[in-house]
Amino acid sequence: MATVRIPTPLRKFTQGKEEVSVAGGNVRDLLANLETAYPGIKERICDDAGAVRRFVNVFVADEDIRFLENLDTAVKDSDEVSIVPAIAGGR
Amino acid sequence: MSGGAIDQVPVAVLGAGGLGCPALLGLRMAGARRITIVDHDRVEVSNLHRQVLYDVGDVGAPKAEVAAARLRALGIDATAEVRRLAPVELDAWMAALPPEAIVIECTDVPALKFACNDAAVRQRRRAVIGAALGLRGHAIAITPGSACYRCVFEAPPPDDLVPTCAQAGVLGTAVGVTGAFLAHLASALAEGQRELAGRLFELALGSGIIRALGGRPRAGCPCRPAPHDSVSHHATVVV
Repeated sequence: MATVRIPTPLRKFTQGKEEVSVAGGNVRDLLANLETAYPGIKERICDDAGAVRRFVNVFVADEDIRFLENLDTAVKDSDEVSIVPAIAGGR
Repeated sequence: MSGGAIDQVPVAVLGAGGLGCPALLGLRMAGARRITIVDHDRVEVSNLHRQVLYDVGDVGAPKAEVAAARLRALGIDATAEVRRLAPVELDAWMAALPPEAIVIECTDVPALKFACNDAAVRQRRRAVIGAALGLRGHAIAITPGSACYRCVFEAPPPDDLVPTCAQAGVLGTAVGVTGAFLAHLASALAEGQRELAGRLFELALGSGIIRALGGRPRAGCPCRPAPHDSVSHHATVVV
């Protein structure tokens, strides 16, 4: 299973875990399985049409999936998948 | 001792809060000599543990003025602009800066970060944009020709989906490390180093890892010239 890095704003869905292990041969399946394991998290990552939201980015092995195969990007068990939303803090 | 090229260029810092204070101290360490500080806010007691340019005697005073005075006492030519800069004002504000100036965006307003990016892209300027939340910091340096903030994030998050530091918390050391890193990126830009530009650095303090993510300009991003337009640099942006 791939290691998925969960950003701070979404850790309320993963019981505070920064990393979780999720199966999935590609990003689409991985996000579906992430939703099954942690209900409610996917709608924060994807819009109603299933596309990754414009203020969120997903990286597989530090590569932007939009430069790969987007949601069809293959994911290996050894991969680290980072979900990275734009954050705004700084005060 | 000179810190290098950063001592030759003016730097403008937007926001003198949790990120801005360590960024300003980092600029001092890097050798910056001319700094403009823009902030509308006033010092509060709750700021003091992480906004390390201020002390209890400053409570109620404008942050920009206090920060500029601190830096002047350290021999830096620092000026304050006490104002709330709206995203729609960013382009005109930036246009008034010297062309060689570097802008560091340190506010907690998502729309300002994107407006700063867009203005820098339009005006072909150098800028550094940062954010921090919880145990995590983001930093990206942009320079003409590099990928930009919109290459990574296409649009700002809606207000109801972006937690603030007040809601999600932020570790004082997270803004400290991230702010200092922003100053480092500005110094690298001043030196003409392009290899750090265009990549989103994610500082994950929980694991102690800094990741350099992406780095390639995104096709269709407003920072990329249209195929028929190889001279001018149009950037029509919808926030």
